[in-house]
Amino acid sequence: MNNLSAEAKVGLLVLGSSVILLWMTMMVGKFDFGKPEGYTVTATFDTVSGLDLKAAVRMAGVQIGTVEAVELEDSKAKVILLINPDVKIPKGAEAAVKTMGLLGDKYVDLIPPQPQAELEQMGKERSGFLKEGDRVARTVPASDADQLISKLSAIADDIKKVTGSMSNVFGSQRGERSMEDILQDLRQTTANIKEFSYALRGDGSELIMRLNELAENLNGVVNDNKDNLKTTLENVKEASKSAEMALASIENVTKKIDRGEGTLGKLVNEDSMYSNIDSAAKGISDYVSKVERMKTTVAFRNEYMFSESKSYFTLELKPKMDQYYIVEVLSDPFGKYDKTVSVNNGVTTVNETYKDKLKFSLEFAKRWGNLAIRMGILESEGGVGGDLFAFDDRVKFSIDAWNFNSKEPNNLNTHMKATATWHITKLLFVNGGYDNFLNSSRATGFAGVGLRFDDDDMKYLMGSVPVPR
Amino acid sequence: MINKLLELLGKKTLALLREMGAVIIFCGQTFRWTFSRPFYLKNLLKQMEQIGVNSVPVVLTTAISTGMVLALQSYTGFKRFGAQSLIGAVVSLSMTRELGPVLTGLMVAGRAGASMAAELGTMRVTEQIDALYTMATNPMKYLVVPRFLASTIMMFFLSGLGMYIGILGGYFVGVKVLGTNPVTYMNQSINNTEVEDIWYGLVKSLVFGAVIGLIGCYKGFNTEGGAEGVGKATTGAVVVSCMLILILDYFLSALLW
Repeated sequence: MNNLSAEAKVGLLVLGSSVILLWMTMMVGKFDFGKPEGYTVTATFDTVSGLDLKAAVRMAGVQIGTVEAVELEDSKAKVILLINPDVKIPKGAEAAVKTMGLLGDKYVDLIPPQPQAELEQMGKERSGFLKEGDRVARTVPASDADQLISKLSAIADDIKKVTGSMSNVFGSQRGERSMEDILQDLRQTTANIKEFSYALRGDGSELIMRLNELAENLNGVVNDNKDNLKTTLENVKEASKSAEMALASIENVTKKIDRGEGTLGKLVNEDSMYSNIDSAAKGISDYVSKVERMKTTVAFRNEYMFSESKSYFTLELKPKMDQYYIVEVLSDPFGKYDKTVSVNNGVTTVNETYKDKLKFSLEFAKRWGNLAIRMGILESEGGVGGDLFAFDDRVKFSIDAWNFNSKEPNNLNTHMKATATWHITKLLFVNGGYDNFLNSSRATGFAGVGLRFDDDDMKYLMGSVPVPR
Repeated sequence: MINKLLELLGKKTLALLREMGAVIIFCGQTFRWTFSRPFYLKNLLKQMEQIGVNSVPVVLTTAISTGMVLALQSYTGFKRFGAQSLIGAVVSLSMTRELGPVLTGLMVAGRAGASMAAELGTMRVTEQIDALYTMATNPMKYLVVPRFLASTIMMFFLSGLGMYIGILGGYFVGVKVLGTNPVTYMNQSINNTEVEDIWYGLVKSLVFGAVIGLIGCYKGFNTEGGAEGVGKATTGAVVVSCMLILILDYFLSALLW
């Protein structure tokens, strides 16, 4: 430092601390040069007590903007929110003034509407996002500590009323007296019980003897009147039968009324007819909605295996989001291997055939997140498979295994196939992979292309198909 | 007896008033000569080095220990109700608004204010100041103005440095030693500190710098008697400027808040 001149030392200090000061100011301050970016939406609250300008606007806890202005409009608070340009707020969102923690700052929370699926079932439709100048549809006012306290004090008042009336009942002289009476009665009762139990203890054995005697006597009476009892019982049985018949005829009458026989019946039945039609209509709509709910996809694809090619027709039925069925018909160039050994006059003939070039698959699939497991029949053999979905299901990695106990020479190992599929558009997809990689002589790469139609395309077709009842 | 007491009271009051008047006149003269030619830039630079650069180690040491202590102490307090994350806010707010300028001011007053008073006092008692007059050099311009300007300007930068270093010390203790979440610490510091807080602190430090320069020079300029007088002037300069810093700090805080 000694070889530095005084000027240099002063310059160093000034420069260093200026840089630090400038940096600190930049860190702390939020400098928006020019007009702040974003778009504004408004929300009207009953009260926004405690909400400051520049307070945060959050969605799912993430800050997406600031409070730009708070104005009074028709005795309500109109809050203008400046939202970051890259944030989209779905229409139907709800705004609420909330507090960070117990003592924290107030902020505006934007709560997105329910998921789309629920909305659709409710018959509403989400119609895009809020734009510049739009108004947030629903708002929840600030619930401040004062409100909480006033609610609590209302509860306290209620409790006070209850305790007050209780003290009126028990606290007054009359109440006291009646309490005393009750206690007196109780005391008397317990005394009586006590006395009784003492007496019982004393005369217990005698009592039991008497009871025994009584039972014996009864037995005698029953024995003497056995026949009489029997006839009585039979009479009762007959009576109940006729009662049954009476009921049946009543039922008949009501049925007649129900069927609309007689004027009374017609009057009664008009109503039920209406409800019948109603329920029938409901049944139809149930059926239709079930069909609608079942997502159906049809796909055709051809996989070229560099010498042969394999064609597939796939039908995918999806009754639930996480569960679906796959029905597939395919033409396999190799066919199903079969070997029959027949011994004819001491001559062994081995008959090897490849038949059923048309194969089918029938799989049940269950999905968890991005993973799916399939099992069932694969290419006419028992098999399992797994899928990994990525990029919003646009890309799928699959691995399949079937034909676990093959007898075919050169193809003894389990047939395994790894596939990657890319849905380029909604309609078009390509795939590629490695087939039968456990059997070296049959292992081959392949590339395929296919078309896929889903519900929306199919609805036109399905709509014209008559619905069986 | 009563007469004498009254006389004493009157004398003291008059002396105080005279002193205050003298200080105010001195201030006015300093201001006046600040803006008139010739400027002794070389002198100003030398004083800047004396007052500013040479005070850096002292200021940094004070600031960093203050920041660290602040973090440590507020931690024990905040931990009782689980608000450790607020340490950052406490340290940065108190460093920028209060402790940065005040502690830097006290340090500079002790270091530079004292040396100013001693230097000018010695010049006064050895009649060097009178010699300047005879050489047609205005000692106010030649001696006082550079010191006043240098201490005002340098206090600005020194306290800025002090704020930063103090916050750094607090961060070190809060995050590295006490183990609070560094991201939360920084967020709390930044979100709770406004640009205004820093500027309030810097405005304060400018005022303190002016006070240090003026009081140091005034005391030195008005030294009477030999070596003893120089000692008295030095002590007076430090005590008065420290007290003035603390008193003015309150009024400035109230005014700027």
